[in-house]
Formats: sequence, structure tokens, C-alpha cells
Amino acid sequence: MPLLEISHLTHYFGGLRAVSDFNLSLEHGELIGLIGPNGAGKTTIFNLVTGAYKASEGSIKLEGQELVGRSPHEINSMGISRTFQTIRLWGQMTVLDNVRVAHYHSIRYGLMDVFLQLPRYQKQEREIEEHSRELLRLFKLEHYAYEPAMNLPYGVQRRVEILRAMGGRPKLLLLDEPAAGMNPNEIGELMDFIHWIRDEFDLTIWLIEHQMRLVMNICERIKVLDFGETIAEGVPEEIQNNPRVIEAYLGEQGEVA
Amino acid sequence: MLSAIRNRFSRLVAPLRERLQGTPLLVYQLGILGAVVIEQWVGKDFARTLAFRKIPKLFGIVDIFEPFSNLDFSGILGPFFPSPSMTVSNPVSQSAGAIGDLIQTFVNALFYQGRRDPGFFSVLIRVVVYDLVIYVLPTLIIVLLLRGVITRFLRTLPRWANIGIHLVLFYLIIVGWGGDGGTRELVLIFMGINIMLSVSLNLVNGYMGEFSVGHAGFMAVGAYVSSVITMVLFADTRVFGPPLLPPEWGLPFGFIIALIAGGIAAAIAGLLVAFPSFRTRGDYLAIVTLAVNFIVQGVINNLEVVGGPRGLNGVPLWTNLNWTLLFTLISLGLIYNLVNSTFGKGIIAVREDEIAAELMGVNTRRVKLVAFLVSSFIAGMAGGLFAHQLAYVNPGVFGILKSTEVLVMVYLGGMGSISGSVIAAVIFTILIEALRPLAVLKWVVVPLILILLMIYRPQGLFGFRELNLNLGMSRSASRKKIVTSEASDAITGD
Ligand SMILES: Nc1ncnc2c1ncn2[C@@H]1O[C@H](COP(=O)(O)OP(=O)(O)OP(=O)(O)O)[C@@H](O)[C@H]1O
Ligand SMILES: [Mg+2]
Repeated sequence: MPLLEISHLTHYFGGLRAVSDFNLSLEHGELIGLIGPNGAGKTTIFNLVTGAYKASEGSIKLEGQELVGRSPHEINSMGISRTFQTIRLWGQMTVLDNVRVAHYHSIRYGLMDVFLQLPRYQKQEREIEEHSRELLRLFKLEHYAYEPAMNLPYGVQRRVEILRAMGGRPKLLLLDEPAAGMNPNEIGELMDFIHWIRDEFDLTIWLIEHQMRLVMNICERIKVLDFGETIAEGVPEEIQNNPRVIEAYLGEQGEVA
Repeated sequence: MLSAIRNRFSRLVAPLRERLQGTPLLVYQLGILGAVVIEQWVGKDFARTLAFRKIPKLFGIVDIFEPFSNLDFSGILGPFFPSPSMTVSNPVSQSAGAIGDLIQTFVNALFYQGRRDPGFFSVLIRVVVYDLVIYVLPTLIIVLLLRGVITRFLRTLPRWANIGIHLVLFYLIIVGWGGDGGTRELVLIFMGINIMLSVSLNLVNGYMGEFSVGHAGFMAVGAYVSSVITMVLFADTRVFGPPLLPPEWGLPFGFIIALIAGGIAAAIAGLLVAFPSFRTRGDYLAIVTLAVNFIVQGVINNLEVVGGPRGLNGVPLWTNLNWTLLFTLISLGLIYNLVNSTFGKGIIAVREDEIAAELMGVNTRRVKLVAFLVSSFIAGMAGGLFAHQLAYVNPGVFGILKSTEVLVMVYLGGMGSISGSVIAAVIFTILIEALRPLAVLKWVVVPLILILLMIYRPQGLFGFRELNLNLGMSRSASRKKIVTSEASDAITGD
């Protein structure tokens, strides 16, 4: 069974068809890319998968379970986590607390356990804290643990967002333009980093990106979207030489070929 | 000019501050306890020597404002809006005359008002002398003497003993200073109730970032429900007749149950806000909270069984210092444990970015529900204590004015700060007590404080930070505490 299976996904904003008949089958451990010009509907697809929007038509299945109609926190607890195109950390909270809250769905204690600090509460909180610190250590961010997220440099915030997404131990990680605002050097590091988290955490990764160098280098498979329609899909070489893709990108980025 | 004074003052106390740096809380507690004992011992005599009739009230703050109690502002606008029975020939000159009189009284209040009524400056000087001799100097001397010994002693204690000894000393100070059954006790009780109100409102307004403006409504529900329970079950009243149960059962169990029932009833009323909060935020939800405040008042006004607008008389006078302390500490514990749990951090995540919170797995509806329920539950218990302190409740008390008072405390103390709310409630209660002689002026001064606060310190005293108490624990004892994440945003020594 594929990890994620999307079929005939369509979404309307009023009269605007932002996504039309999108299909995807994603196997465990894959690293795939979603590209397309501005306004093509890429972020909308992520929002549909994570439950931020409810799909107008079609189905999204995670390991055979239908996601359409579920609330975002439920979908998150089933194993899908994400980052955002524009950073959405909880700014006043410390980095450690950002990661801790991402463990929310693993909480099994009740209010009384919290109020009375019962052993059940203590044990789970200790586990959450230990896992959070472990992640901070793996991401080499432990010295920022007590720093409010909003005080961090932009590049660090982007890494913290990925770190936070990992707090919930996801199976599938969605990255929305992880390289936005990075210089070529940082993009190089990011490519290694994405490979590393996939192997380290046994993840499946699906990313949206405008930086062609990153997409072409690390994605095993790429889908191209334009005006909500899938115009191409395949391995990087196929995409680079596809005339429809080049047309769609003409005057847009100009760095496909 | 003000900053010059502040500079000079800080230069004056700098050497002292240096010596006191890192002094554990317990040392100060012992110092204050010493001062309390000294006051019991020689306070009255010393006050007489300073020509006070009694020991100055609340460190003399009340006495300082006393000379202004004769000020009469009604003459300024009164002539322009005369009552029907009154004829005013020349409102302008009458008003001017009233202003002249007012200035005359004010000058008298400052300097001299006759043999039995000393002026402001005279009281001020003597109050400062009293406070220095009775409170400040003994505390400082004891602190400097015991500093070394106690610091070393504390390191040998396990965590539970450390916290226990702090609590015992805290209790001794409170009871020693304020357990007089008089004004001090009353002020401390109101302080406790205000702490419960401000901390619980802070959960919604500060930690969750909503803007609830009707907190007094929940207080009213708790006050009425607990009063009805205790009156029906344990008291012989004109409204409800003879008690259904033996009155001896009333304390402690009946009272505890009544207060908790009041809290639960208030929490149910909290649902009126919690459910709309799933769909709306910000200004719209603020209006909902306001509406709930009015609905509660309106319902009580129309309930003849509980006296309608006339109110409910004969509530047992059960609230005392111990009960207030107990429930205040419980409330603080509930909120502290909540906001430091991962679940509670979810409340803060909702404030910071609700959509991101939901997408990262936080069940935002549940989190909001819990925040509103806990908040109104504590407000309800505070209302119960309040009713059993006054022995009389009426719906008018729990209006928008009371809600505003709580808001002032929350914003004075700072959003998202428990210690801020506690300190603000303490300051506010003392201030209200001190302004009592000024009557209506209170409602000029309180909003004025709020305005000045918004201009000069919009984050409040402790916005999003906590006061860091130095408990003087050894490393190994303090490490047992699992939640450490507020370490960096704590306020240290200076
Ligand atoms: N909440 C919304 N309401 C109405 N229209 C929307 C909404 N979100 C997106 N759209 C529209 O849907 C289309 C697709 O938007 P989307 O954000 O998915 O594009 P994108 O491919 O992520 O583009 P970019 O590369 O600029 O991020 C755009 O025309 C956008 O204006
Ligand atoms: Mg986008």
C-alpha cells in the first residue's frame, strides 16, 4: 500500500479552480518535489493534505485511511507534519517549547494529572522533554533552547520549523519552500540536511520549491503544476527537457534548462 | 527630574544591593517575620510616640491620603446641573466659588487642618519614620546577620523541606501581620480574592491572547450558587427558612463543597464564552464576554428567589484569612501547573498562531475549552469567597466596573505572567484601600493608572516573564524539577 494516495483532488476558491484533478501515489521513503509558477496551487495542495482546507472533490488517503473531512490536528496525529512558506513559529515561545508543543498529540494524561502532577503526567512530560532535547541536539540547535523563536536569525528559524515538525514523529514531512530566502551556500547545506533527516528519521519527504538547483538535485521524482493542472511529472532529467514545463516557466525563473 | 532622583537613590543603595545580591528568599522572610514580631511588641507604643492614635494603617498608606477626605468636587459642576428643588442664579460664579473653596481645602489638607487633623506632609514624614524603624531597619539587620548561615543551611535541605519551610514562614508572616480580625485581615482577604481573579483572567487574556472583559459575570455565578447552597443547607435565614442540615456540618465540608459547586457553576457559564470562541476571535469574542456579563446580571436581577436586584442577605460569614489563603494557593497551583505543562503551552501556541497550532497537532478547541473553564472556575470560587466575606451579595456588585478592575490588575501585572498578576493584585488592593478616603476620585485615579501604564509600560510590570524566586536550593535538589523552560525568561537579581 502506498503511504499517501491522492486521487482526483480538486479544490475551488469560489469560482477559482485552484487545484484540478491532482493525483499522486507516494511510497514510503520517497523524496519528491512539487514545482510550478507562482499561484499554481502548490501550497493549496499542502493545505488540503494537512486539513487546513477541506477538499471540494477527490480523496486523500494515508495508509488507506481517508483524510478529507478530518481536522488538521487529527491528520497531524496520524503522521503528517509540515513547515510553512512564510515562517509560522510561535514567536514568543522558546525553541524548546515550540518543539514540546509539537508533541501535543502524544499526550495521554488528563487535566487532573496536570493539576496534581501525578506520576502519569511526570512520566509523559519527561519523555516529551527528553525527545525534544534529543531533537535539538541532533539538529545542533541546543544552545538556542531557551531563546524565544522570534529572536533567532532567519536561517535558524527555518531549521527550527523543520525541527518542530519533527516533534510529532511524522511519517510524512511536507516542506513548503524550505530554501526561500537562502543564499547558494545555505542551499547546499540544506540539501545535505534534507537527505540527512530523511535517512535519520526514516521519513518520506514531499517538498515545494522554486530553487531548481535544489529540486533537480535531491528529488527523485517531480510533479509540475500550472494553474492547478498537472502539466508534467517524472524524474529530474525528463522535467528539465519537457517543453510544456519550459513554456510554463518562461519569463518566470528562466533557470529550468 | 524624576530620573535624577532615581539615579541618586540607586547610587545611595548600590553598596547595600551589592551586599544583598543572591540572598535567598528565606532570609528576607525571616527578616520580615522579625519586623512583624517587633511591631507586635513595640508598634503601638512607637506609633503613640509619633503622635499617631493607632498603628498606621497598611504601612501608613491609608493615613497619608486621609487628610484629603474633605475634598468636595461636587461644587464645580453641580451649579450647572442643579437638582429641580435647587435654584441657581449664577452658576459660573458659584462654580468658581466652589473651586476656590476646593483649593483652600486642598492647601489645608497638605499642611495643617487643625489640632486633631494633621496635614499630608506631617503624616508623610511620621509614616516614613514609622515604616523605617519598625519594618525596614529590623528586616535589613536580620537579613545581614543571617545571610551566611541561612544560605549554607538551605543547601543541605531536600526539595520538599525547602518548599515546606518557605510556606511555613510565609504563613507565619501573613498571620502574624494580618491575622488581627480587623482592617489588615480584610485587606488580605480581598487581596487573595483579587489574586484569584487576576490570575484566572490572565489565563484567557494573557496566555491565550483573547480579550475577555466580563470576568465579574463568572464571579457572580460562583457567589450566588455557593451562597444559596450554604444558606439553604446550613443557615437559618429569612429568605430560605431553617437549615436543611445541621449547621455544624457547614464548616469545613459544607463550605468547601459550596465553593467548589460555585466554581463548577461558573465554569458552566464559561461555556457561554467557550463555544463562541471556536468560531470567533478578538473583538467579536470580547463582545460575547461583555454580553455574558450582562446576561448573568440580568438573570440574577430577575430571579426573585434570590432577591432580584435587592440582593441576598444573610450569607454565612465564613470566609477568613485561612480559607482565602488556601483557595488562593490552590488556584495559583492549578494555573501554574497548567501553563507549564505541554498541554498548557498549547494555550500559548493558540495565542501565538492558532492555525499553526492546529496544524502542528494541537486540538485548539479542547485547549480553548479548558482555558475558559479553568478561568471561570477559579473566578467562581473567588466569587464564593467574596460573598461569604460580605455576608451580602447583590447583582450590581458584579458589573462591568468589577470586570474592569480585574482587567486593570491583569494589564498592570503583565500578560502571561502569574507573578505579575499576583503583584499587581497586591498593589491594586492596597491602592484601592488607600484611595477609599477619596471616594469617587478612585474612579478617576484607577483609569488614569491604566492610561499611564499603556503609554509608558504597555507590557505591564512583568509582561511574559516571571519573577524568579531564589529558594537557595542546592543544584541536585532543584534539578528534580522537570520543567525548566522558563529559566531564560526569568528576571534575575536586577
Ligand atoms: N484562501 C484562499 N482564498 C482564495 N484564493 C486563494 C486562497 N489561497 C490561495 N488562493 C488562490 O489560489 C491560487 C493558488 O494559490 P497557492 O498559494 O496554492 O499558489 P502556490 O503555487 O503556492 O504559489 P506560490 O509559489 O506563490 O507560493 C492562487 O491564485 C491564489 O490566489
Ligand atoms: Mg505557495
